[in-house]
Amino acid sequence: MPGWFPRLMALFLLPCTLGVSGPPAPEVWVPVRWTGGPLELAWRTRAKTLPADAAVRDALARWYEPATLGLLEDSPANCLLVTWSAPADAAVEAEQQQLVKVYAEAAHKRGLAVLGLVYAAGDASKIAADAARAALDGLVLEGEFAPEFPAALRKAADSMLVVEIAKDAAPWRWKPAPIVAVAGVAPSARNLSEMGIRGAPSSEPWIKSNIWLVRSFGLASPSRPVWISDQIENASAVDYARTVADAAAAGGRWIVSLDDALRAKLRARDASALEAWRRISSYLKFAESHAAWRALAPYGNVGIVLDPASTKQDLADEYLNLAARRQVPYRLVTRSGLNAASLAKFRALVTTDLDSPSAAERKLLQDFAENGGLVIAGPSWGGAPKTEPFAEVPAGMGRVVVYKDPDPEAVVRDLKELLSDDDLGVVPFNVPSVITFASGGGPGQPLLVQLLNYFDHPVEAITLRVAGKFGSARLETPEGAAVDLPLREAEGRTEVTIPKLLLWGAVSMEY
Amino acid sequence: MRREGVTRRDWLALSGLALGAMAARPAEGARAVSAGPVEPVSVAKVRSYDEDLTTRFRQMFDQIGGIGNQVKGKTVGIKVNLTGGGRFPGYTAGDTHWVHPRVVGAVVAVFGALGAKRIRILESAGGRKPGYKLEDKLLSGGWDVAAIRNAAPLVEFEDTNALGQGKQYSLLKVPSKPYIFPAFQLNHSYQDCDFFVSLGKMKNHEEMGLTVCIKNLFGITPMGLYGNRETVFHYGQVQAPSGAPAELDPKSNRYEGWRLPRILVDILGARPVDLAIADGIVSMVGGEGPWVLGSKPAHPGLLVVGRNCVNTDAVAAATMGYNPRAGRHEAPYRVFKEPKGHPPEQLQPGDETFQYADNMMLLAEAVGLGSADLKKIDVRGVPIKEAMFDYEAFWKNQMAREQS
Repeated sequence: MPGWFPRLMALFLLPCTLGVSGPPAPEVWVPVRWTGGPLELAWRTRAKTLPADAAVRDALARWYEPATLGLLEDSPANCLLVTWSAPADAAVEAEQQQLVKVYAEAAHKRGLAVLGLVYAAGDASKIAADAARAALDGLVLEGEFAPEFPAALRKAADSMLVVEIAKDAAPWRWKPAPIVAVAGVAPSARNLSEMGIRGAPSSEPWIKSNIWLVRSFGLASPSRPVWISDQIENASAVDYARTVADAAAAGGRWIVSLDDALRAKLRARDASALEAWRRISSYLKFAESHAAWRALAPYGNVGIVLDPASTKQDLADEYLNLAARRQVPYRLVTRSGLNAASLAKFRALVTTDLDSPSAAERKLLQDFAENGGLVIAGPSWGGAPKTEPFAEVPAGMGRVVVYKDPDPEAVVRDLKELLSDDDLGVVPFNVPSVITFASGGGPGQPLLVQLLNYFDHPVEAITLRVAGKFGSARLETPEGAAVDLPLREAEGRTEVTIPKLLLWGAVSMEY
Repeated sequence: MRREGVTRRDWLALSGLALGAMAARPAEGARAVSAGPVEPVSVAKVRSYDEDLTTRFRQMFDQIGGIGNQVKGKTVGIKVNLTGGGRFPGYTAGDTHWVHPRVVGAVVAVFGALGAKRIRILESAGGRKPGYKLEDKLLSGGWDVAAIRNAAPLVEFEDTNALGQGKQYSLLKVPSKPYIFPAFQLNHSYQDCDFFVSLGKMKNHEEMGLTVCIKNLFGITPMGLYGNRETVFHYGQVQAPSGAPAELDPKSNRYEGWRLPRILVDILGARPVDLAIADGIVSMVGGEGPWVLGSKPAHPGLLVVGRNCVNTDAVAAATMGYNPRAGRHEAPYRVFKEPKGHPPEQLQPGDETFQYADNMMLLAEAVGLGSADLKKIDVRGVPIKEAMFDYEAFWKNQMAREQS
């Protein structure tokens, strides 16, 4: 084990070693949506989202009885998002807040943090003051708010943390915030034919994932906690476990959100519900026990240039999403971070987000190409073809590929064919339903390749081809003990085969 | 109509009366029926790829008269049937739309044991990626490439989509009377082999009705030379490039259901098959890959092996529940490709539905490449009637539960 690893682990485990004297620090919060009480029922009645089943409604109403805290005894979830403020009668809200105050006190004694969920704008001063009186550790805004309200609440909350669950992720990549929380998607994979779409032989399953989204926040602040919010419906234990893994693979955390029926069964200590909860917890534990992986920077010889001022953020997001899905190991570069030193780390640059490169940028990119790099550019570069999708323009030892009308799907697909395996660095085989994410690989660091399977069926015989010679490879999964993988070397590359991937695995390769 | 587990198609395929009637009917577009060669064909029921396939193939090769003399000390080329990626959930590509790696491994092991000097696994891997190899394509299907490489003393893999290890393309002429192309330029491996094997998958094909061992040969045409198989071969929108043999009549029918079966027969004529192996242990119905709408996995449990590719495909088709002498607009040649998917200029005359393919077995028979007449073929191993898995009924959810 390398020397840096124990030091990092010690840093992450520090709060645990100090004993349970209070709630954990925000950096290690593992959030779980823990809503309930009379206010939850009241506002959901208005919103017409209350479950029809009376037993489930009863479970929600009585969620803040102390017994529910027992469910968290063997779970890494340590940050409860409780119902705090919502559109309802003032009396109901007051009753709720008194209930939550008592519950929060009990939660604190167990070393849990408690954040109050605010579903609608109101009197910011009162909401913050009431939360402070209840000794909440923070407030979470979920819903539609005019921009003034979060600012007013932050001001009123003083040192108390206020987290906004953002629907539009892009602005939060660059905004300062101790924790960023964004709405994500329910991770899944479906064949196009299941969606009634006639694909092509090269078609791959349509994968919904948040890995790219979590990664997109790492550029401005690599260590900032990222929370993904999505309520998955009709979920199986595997779906929940996948959602945990999908957020965690790139260092984020899913705000664990169990559906009402499952929570009602948990409260009743139903065996199947408890088993599902144990599985979710085992995935949370796997993620948290490998917290050091979050410190590993993404690996990749392909740089995707992002312009924070771009008016086409959706398009930029699509590049990140598709590059992740198409197994292109990439790192992000901001437009302002383009310089000769930063580009020296790459073999290819996707610059389609630069609407019109400045003269200095053009020279930088041209030099990069002439030194052997590949630049993917949009039509503003000049020399775009009239009929073909792109033109490959030789430039010194490298080339510039100019697209007539760059489309993220085509660009990413072409990128994989324009680059050799050595250029890509990490090439997985037999992964149509899998997303891989490589990180680390710097001096003294292992190269970590995480793999997440989005089909419910296991994938067998996945091969990873990695540029360079490695001395060992170890596969860790939440399901079992770590296993060493045999290495095969050829032409300066190393290959390993993962015999079977159920859902989430990580191959750690040491030089 | 079903009679004691025997389908209507059984009667069509197996009753002497029906066969006799069909044999007497000329195939659409085919020339006068020729008495093509006839060789024994072996049929086996195999439940899964976990069975001892090496022993099974040894038995089947013995049943067709043995191949040891043809293989010993020789270079064997095996054209394996791969296609696009994608998966049915819970299945590998080798299960449903590629030949299965264990079938390939077992066949390689048997050839090695029979003394083959060199075994080459051949297929067009495709792709423009620098340094891309056939082995990479196989890895993308989850194949244990090393195990296949180690199954015989000398196993090579060659991507025949371009020159590969060769310095120039080999010109292979169609010695029988060609339909569309008089010759093809192919990767050297198709000439530099003493014993050529077509290892195909027993599945449906959206445009051709069936993929077995004849259709498998389409992939031997190198895109590195021809550019684009669809435009040159399927649709004939562009002529073969300079240096490649030109088609005989550039004004002939462009509809792919008419054109491509004939081109496939030309390819079979140019590169005759010494051994045809059809893998239907697990497969799919309704198309050639999971991208085809309405397609689904199936477990036919079939292996078919023969020395003559046409005979073998005919028997394979019968075990799939199809009449090997079926004509246009009969299953499986009544295809379901959306006509709008064709180039509009091909859809002439306007009164045709353009949802058919011509039967490539009958076209091959007509030029003397082999008989598609079950009455003449000596079927060994499991009788067709006992082996049969009715693809059409399974596709239409009409198969009895115990059979599916």
